[in-house]
Amino acid sequence: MKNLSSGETSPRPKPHRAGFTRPLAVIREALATAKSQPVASIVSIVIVAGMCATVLLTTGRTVGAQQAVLGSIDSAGTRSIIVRADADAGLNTGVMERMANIEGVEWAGAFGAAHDVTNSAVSDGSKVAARTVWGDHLDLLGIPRRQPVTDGTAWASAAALEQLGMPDRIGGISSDTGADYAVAGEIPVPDYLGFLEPLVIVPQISNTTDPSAVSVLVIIAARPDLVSPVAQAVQSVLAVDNPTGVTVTTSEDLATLRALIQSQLGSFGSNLVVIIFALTALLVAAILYGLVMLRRRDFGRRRALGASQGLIISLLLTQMAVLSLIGAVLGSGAAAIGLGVTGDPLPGAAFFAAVGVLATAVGTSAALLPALAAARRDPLKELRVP
Amino acid sequence: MRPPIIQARGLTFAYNRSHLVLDAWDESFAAGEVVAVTGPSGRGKSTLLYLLGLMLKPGSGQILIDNTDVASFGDARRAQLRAGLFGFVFQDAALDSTRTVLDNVVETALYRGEPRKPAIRRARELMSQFGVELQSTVKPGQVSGGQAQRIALCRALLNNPRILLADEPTGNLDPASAEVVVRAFHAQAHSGAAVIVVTHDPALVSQCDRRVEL
Repeated sequence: MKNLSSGETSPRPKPHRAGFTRPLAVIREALATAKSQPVASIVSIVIVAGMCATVLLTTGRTVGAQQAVLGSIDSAGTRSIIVRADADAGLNTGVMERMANIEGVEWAGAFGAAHDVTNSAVSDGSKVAARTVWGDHLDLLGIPRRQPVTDGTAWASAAALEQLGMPDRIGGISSDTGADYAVAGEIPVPDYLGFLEPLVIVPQISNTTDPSAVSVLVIIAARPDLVSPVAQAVQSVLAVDNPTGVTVTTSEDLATLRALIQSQLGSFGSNLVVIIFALTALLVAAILYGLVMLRRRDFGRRRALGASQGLIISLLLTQMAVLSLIGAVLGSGAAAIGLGVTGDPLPGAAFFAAVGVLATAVGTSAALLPALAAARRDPLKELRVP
Repeated sequence: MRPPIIQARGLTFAYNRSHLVLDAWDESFAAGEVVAVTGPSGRGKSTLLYLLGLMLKPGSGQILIDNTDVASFGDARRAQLRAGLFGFVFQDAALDSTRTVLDNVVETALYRGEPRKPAIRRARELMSQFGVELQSTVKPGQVSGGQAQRIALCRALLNNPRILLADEPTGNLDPASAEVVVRAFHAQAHSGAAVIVVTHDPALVSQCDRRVEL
């Protein structure tokens, strides 16, 4: 095919890249067009900002409350499974190895029988129950990961330290079994171990050839809905001599309640979001379509002067994406201030970001049909003067 | 005789079955000539111009540019040719009233993928040449009809087009402004372009190199 640009008799400007309009040039033109139509641009921004603010002040507030309620329920231990074993039940640390293959376990710790300890430096000091503990992730109890687990180191909760009379959080303790330990520091006690307070623990490495007796086994499931299946799996690997000496307590009821609350509040929120976004998309599309009809002559002119259909669609979508982004930022900011002023819980940065991204996407998508209409304007029909 | 830049071969176009506008129409337009297309209203002069300008697709026939049939090209390719090879002058200037006159003149640079700065330099040269050196903030609503048409002329000439199409370009102009437009057409033709003008204006027809009657 012959080069259509050849055969010229005078120098002509060369295209930067034939047929390729640079993205920055499209963005610049979209911004300039938005600026040249202030009323339509402001209305579009206000609609998207209104959408964001409405979603955040309704669903966002619900999500914030939901997160607060679920947080409270979680703090009560919605994912915990407690296995208590009598001394003659025969539960030993071998269970930890058997549980390693169970899916859905976030954390597990085996506690030995309680034995009294007192502050070595205080004669007739208060007795506190200490327990040996076995587990692979004791750092979750606040024990530094780099701390070597040795026979002589113990960790105590704030309540235990107070009873032992150790304001400096370190010191020596003596067991009624005759063993001495060095308290290395304070550990926070998670809610699911609250029943063991005041807590002094002595971390140990489990010995598979000579397993030790376990009196309490605490398992935390990865999710509340996994509590029941994990509990069943754990019971199947307990391998105790006397099953009647074992009791298993789970938070299954609490987990069910949690799931119900999450489902109902989540469903209410998502339905509302869909309705608000759909209405906004409709409004944006209607406004843009009206704008296209009002300015159809301009689109006809652009087509005549060399704008491809693709370029016109890109220009309108970019224009609406920028306006939607501005609207999303303004609406989110206003909603955050509103929630802060009323003292309502904020739904979290991720929720804000998701609403902003979704609002921008909805605004931009709503521009697609008007953009297609604009791209199909007929230059002859629009530019011809009767 | 110079070789034709743009040719119509067997060009047929109808808006509907009962309204045949062009029927197997043949014509060639060479570099260096200013051709007036004349005829009574409703004979398809503007339609012909928009067909030659690749804004409409013919029902049948060919539009050859440098002996290449471009009538069947897709939208993007035809848009690319419009932006690169053609210049258009419309009867009422067809400027964007919401943008500055400078933005109007450089508009087509965007469609060619041409950087804006050199386009602005060339636009200022043209605006100076045609006596419309206006402040950069001036919008089309603030200029006279004659100035608007000269601004539209600057826009059409920004890419130094090889084919310049004009639809009643002097229809709304006073004689002095019309003279500026006619001189610009001849200058562009002299630089190697084919200039095709649809007009009813006998004065303009008399200044063209050739006349095609529809």
